[in-house]
Amino acid sequence: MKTFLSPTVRRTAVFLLAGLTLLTIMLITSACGGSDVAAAVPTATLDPVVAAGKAVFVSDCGSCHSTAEDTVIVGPSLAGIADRAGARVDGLDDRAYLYTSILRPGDYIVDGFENVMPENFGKKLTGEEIDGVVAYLLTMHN
Amino acid sequence: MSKGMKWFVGIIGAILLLVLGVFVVAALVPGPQDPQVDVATSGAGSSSVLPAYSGLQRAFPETNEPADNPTTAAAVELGHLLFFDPVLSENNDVACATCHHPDQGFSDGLPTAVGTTGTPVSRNALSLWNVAYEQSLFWDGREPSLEDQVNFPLTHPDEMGVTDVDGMVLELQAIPEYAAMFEEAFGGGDAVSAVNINRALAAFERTLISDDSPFDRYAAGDFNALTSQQRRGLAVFRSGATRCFECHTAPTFASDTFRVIGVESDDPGRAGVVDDGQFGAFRVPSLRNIALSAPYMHNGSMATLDEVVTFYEDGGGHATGAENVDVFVNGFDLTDQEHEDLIAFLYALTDESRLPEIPTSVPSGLPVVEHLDNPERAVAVAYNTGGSITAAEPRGPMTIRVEEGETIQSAVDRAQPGDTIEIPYGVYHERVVVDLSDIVLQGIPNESGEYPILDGEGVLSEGVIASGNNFTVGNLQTINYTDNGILVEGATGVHFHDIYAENVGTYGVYPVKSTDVLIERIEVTGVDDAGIYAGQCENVIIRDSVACGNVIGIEIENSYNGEISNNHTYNSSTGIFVVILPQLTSKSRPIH
Repeated sequence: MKTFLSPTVRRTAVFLLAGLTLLTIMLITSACGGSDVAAAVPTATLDPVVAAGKAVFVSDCGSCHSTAEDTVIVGPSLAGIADRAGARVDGLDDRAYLYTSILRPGDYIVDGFENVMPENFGKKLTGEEIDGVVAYLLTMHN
Repeated sequence: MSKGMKWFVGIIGAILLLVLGVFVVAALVPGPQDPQVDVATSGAGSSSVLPAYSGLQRAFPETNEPADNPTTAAAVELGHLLFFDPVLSENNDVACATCHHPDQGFSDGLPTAVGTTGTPVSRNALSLWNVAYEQSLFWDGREPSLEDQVNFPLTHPDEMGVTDVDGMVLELQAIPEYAAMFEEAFGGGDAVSAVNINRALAAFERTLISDDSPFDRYAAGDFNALTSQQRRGLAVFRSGATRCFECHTAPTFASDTFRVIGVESDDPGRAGVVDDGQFGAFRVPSLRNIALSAPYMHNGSMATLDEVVTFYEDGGGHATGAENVDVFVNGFDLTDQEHEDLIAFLYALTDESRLPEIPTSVPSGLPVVEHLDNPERAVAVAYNTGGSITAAEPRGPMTIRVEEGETIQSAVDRAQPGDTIEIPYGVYHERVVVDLSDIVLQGIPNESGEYPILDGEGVLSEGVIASGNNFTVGNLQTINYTDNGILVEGATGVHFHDIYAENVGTYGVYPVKSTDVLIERIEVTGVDDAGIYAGQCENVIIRDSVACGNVIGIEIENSYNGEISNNHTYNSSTGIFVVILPQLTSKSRPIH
C-alpha cells in the first residue's frame, strides 16, 4: 500500500474501523434481540373497550387467572381463551360462555379446578366493565 | 510477536472491549417498569381507582326540535295555554294535561289513560319529561315528530275525540286572545291553524327538561349529592348483574330502542307498527322523574317501583315463558338491602325544577285541571337528603352507636367523615358498605370479651367493603361470607385490627390498591385462598396475626414496601407468599 501514513497509524486506523463495525453489529443485534427493551415499546393502541377491559382484568381477575400459557395461579390460565370459549359448552357461544363464567362462575367448572371464584363480580363490576373484560378476553388468541 | 499475531491479539482485545462496553450500556439502560404514579397527590395504591362518579356526566343528545319550529318564548307561552285548554277536545272536557298532568310526572296516575269517553285506552300515558330528547314517540315509536304526534290523541275517539279539526281551528280563531298569541308566535296573518297548534304544543313540551336531579349533581362531581344508600343503589343499577344502565343509560335514562321485557299482555307493541318489529317490544321509557309517574309499564300493570324491581329480579318475561325476551333481562338476586338501595337511587332521578305552572285560566274560559296531591313528592324529598350533608352546619366528629334492631348499614348511613361507628356485641346478617373517608368501624365486645359477629350465612359476598381514605376497622368477627371478610379498595390509610374471620370465601382481610395499610392482630381460618391478602398496595405492615387452615396464610402481591413480622401461619399450602404477578400492575420493590 503506497501511502504517506506510517504503519502504526495505519494499524490503529484498521483497529478503529474494525471496532466500529463490530460495535455497530452488536448494537443492532442487541436492539433486535433485546426482548426486554423491545417489550417496553408500546404496541398498537388497543380498542378503548378492550383497553378498559384489560384494566379491569388486571385489577379484578389477574390475581387468580394468568394470561400466560399453562400457568395456574389459582384459576385456569386464560391464554388462548378466545379460541376455545365457544367450544366449552354446547349452546353457548364464546361471548355467552364468558359472561356466564363471570356472572355465575359455578355453572361450568374447568376440569381439575374447584369452584372457588367469587360469585359477586356481577354486582361488583358495572355492565360496561364486564363488557370490557369479555372484549379483552376475546382478543386472547393462541 | 509476529505481525499476524499482533493483528490477532488486537482484534480479540477490541472485541472484548466492545462486549464489555455493550454490557455497560445495557446495564445503564433502564429496565421496563410501570409508569410512576404521582404519590404526592394520590398515593400509589389509591391512584388506580377513579372517583365513583367518573364517566357519569354525559352530554344530552340533540333535541328533536325541527328547523321550522324554533322554541321561541311566544310559541312556548301559547303552547303552555293550549296544553291546559280543554278546547282541544271534542266535548271541551279533556286537555292534554288531563292525561299528562304536571303533578303526576306528566302522566295521570292511571294504569291506562282515560279520555273523553271514559273508556280506557290500551296503554299507559307516557311522561313528557325530557320528551325533547326522544326521536320516536309513543310506546311503539310509531311517530318521529313531536309536532305530528299531537294529531293522534287529538283525534283518537277515546282520547280528545276531535272529529272536525277545521271546526276546532275556527273555534280557536274566534277567541281573540288566542288569535293574537298565534299571530305573535307564528305571524303571517292567518296563524291559527292545525299545524301551528301542533307547533306550539311541541315547543312547550320541549321545555319540560329535567336535568338537575341529585344524580346529575353527583355525576358532575358532588359526591354528597346522593346519599350513601343512593350511591349503593347506583352501583346496583350499573352493575353487570342488573344491567339496568344498558338500556336506561345516562343522561336520558331512556333509549330510542324497542325491547321485549316480557310484561304479560296481548299488545303487539312494535310489531303493530313496523314489519320487522318484535311482538311485545316497547320503547325504553325515560326514568327521569319516574318516581312521580306510577303506575308503570306500557299497560300500567305495576303499581310501584318495588314491583318493577321485583319483576326484573325474577327475570322479567323469562318467569312467565315470554318469547324473545331482551338479552339484558336475565333475572338477578338482590339482597333486601340492595333492592331498597336500587329504589332509593330511582328517586334520585327526581327533578321538577322546571315544572311549569298550571294556568289559573285559559283563553277559552273552560275549567283547567286542578292541582293534585302526589305523595311521591314527599317520599322523594325524604330520599334525596344527600345535598343536606354539605349544606348542614359543620359538626365535630361523633360516635354513632348501632341501635338495637338497627342494621350496621343504617348507622353508617348516618355518619359523616370523622365519625366513629360503634357496633355493640350481637350477630348481624349484612354486607356493610362504607364509601366515606375518615370512618372508624369498631365492635364493642361483650362481657366475655367476644366481638360482634357479621354472619353472611353463606349468601352475602363481603362482611365489610370500604373505599374511603383513613378507614379503621376492628374488634369484629366475620363468618360465612362467599367472597371476602373485609375488603378495602383504593384507600390511603387503612387500619385493620383485632378481626377474626372464618369461612369467608377468597380472602379474610383484603386491602387492594391501597396505601399505608396496617394489619394487626388478625386471625383467619378456612378461606379458599389467602387469609390475609394485600394486593397492589404500597406500605403494608402485617404483624401479630394468625392464619391457619387456609390455602395460603399471608400473601402480598405486587406491592411496594411490605413488612411482615411476628405472624404465625400453619395448616396451609404456603405460609407467607410474596409474589409479583407479571401481568398485573407491578409496584415491586423490596419486601422485608
